[in-house]
Amino acid sequence: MRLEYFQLIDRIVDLNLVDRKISVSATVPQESTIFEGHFPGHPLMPGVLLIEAMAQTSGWLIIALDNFQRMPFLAAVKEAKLRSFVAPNTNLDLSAEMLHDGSGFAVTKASIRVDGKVTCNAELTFRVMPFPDPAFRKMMEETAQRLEFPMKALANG
Amino acid sequence: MTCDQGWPAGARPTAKFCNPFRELEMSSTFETVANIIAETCDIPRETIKPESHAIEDLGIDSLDFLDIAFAIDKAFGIKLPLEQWTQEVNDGKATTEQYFVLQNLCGRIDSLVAAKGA
Repeated sequence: MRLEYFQLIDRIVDLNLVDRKISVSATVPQESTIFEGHFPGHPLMPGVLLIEAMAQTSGWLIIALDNFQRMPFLAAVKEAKLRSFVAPNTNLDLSAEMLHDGSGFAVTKASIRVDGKVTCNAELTFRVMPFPDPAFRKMMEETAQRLEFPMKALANG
Repeated sequence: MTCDQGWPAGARPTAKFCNPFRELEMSSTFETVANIIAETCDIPRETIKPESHAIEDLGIDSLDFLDIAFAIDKAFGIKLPLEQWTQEVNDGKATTEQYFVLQNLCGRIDSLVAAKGA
């Protein structure tokens, strides 16, 4: 994770366009100024950032399903549950699946597991629209490559 | 003899005359949609009427409408073409009434369901 760049996932592990599911991995950093405040002497990954990590996981699934034509923007978070504390230096397994691909919106179900146990989960709604400008799209494609996005799967899918 | 036989084109009787059950079919779509709206947006069911305008009368904003569209899409097995409707309204080719007055919305839903079965 690079918290200061709001990049909360590290690597796309699996992308299944048929089942419309994605798995990604991320590691909470050992140190961050965020932990100095949250909380002093008791560092914890903030719950809202865990929700954002689930949103980013879902977002990459939506981008993949639309073949990088459209950009998702988080619109609603339903029933987000933060079931246990997440400490620095924790490996997270994040996954998301598409619940509904609507016209101009998408709804996903996402979860985070630590050592196989569900730590967080939520239902997320996104507005999905064409990229506002080509430079933004290009930047997302570059980010995708850095995350080891399976671009071949998209080309063949 | 069906309603359509023997009538000149353009002079066919209304659907309600032909098929007294049509009003029931229409109203069951309306019942489903009204219940979805009441539950999703926490609006009293009795204020939701076929002539209600979702945006102007019921005060539903675009984000709430996504929740409603999700529920409608799932309930009827369709995909409301929201983007197309929004584009048409923005281009001046349609009014919001055509899509967001509930009885019109229900008519659109019925057409989408019928097209699915075709």
